[in-house]
Amino acid sequence: MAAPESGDGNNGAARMVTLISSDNTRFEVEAAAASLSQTLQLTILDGGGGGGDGIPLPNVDSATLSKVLEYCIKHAPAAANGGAPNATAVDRAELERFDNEFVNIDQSVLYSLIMAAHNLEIEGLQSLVAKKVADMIKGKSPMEIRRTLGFPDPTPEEQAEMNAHMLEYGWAYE
Amino acid sequence: MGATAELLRHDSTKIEAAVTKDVEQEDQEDRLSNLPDDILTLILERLKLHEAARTSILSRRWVHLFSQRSRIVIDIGAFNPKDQVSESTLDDLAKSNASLIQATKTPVKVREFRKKNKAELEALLLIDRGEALPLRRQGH
Repeated sequence: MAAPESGDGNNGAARMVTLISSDNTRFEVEAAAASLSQTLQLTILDGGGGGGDGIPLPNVDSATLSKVLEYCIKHAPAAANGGAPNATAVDRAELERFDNEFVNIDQSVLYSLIMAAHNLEIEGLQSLVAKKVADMIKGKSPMEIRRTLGFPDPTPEEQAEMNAHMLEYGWAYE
Repeated sequence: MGATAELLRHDSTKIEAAVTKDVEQEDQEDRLSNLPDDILTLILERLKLHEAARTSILSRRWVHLFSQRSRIVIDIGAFNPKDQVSESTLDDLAKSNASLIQATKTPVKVREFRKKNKAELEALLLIDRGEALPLRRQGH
């Protein structure tokens, strides 16, 4: 956890907050990282999450939360710089490398992540996962899309519906 | 006898594998289907129109999602004849124009079907003018 001085003027030593997952695991992170979540930011600004209190997140399990926090910790310094207008090309390339690697995971984890990012209102993470899922759909035939997304092979009726669809949407397959 | 037992064993592992795969697939689909419309829309909006249209084959829910796009950007470049960057015949042009018109109509048709206000629909239908340029050049 590299913690560069944020220079916010708010505080000297980095303020820590505790988040509690649905399965009761406690995560202690810097307030700056947790504040990437618009939802948490309000609570944190109000002084919540410190000391022994902790902020309960009943919709996020510990596996998902630890992944979410990994993202927040990595992105917090850039976010503190206001979207990092003065970040070096190296910093940006490193974040991009991290992002690509970060979403290289099981679909089920991707879905839990995007759900958590949605609930916690972490815009960057939401778009990152949405883009990843969109990339999985791009340039594929209907059957490939079904298989990639884990839909079972179509029943004869569904197949007939698919054929009708492909006729109607012919322009989408040229 | 030995051969039969062998065959039986072989079959049962095959069935087991098929069953596991099915469960796995359904599980995944369930997870995707568990996501709220907001999120699925977010995913669809990152696809070009023709790519998003293809997801309509997944289920009625995806047809609905596709027709709910808040903004329809038609990328004319995507309808240009393939492999013909510099020269295209009148035929190619006519074909890509026909596809483009079809593409424009489909989402609107689905929406009309849902009894939406027509003026509102037309306002929503945007054509990406930047992408329109290459086609115009080809059409001399």
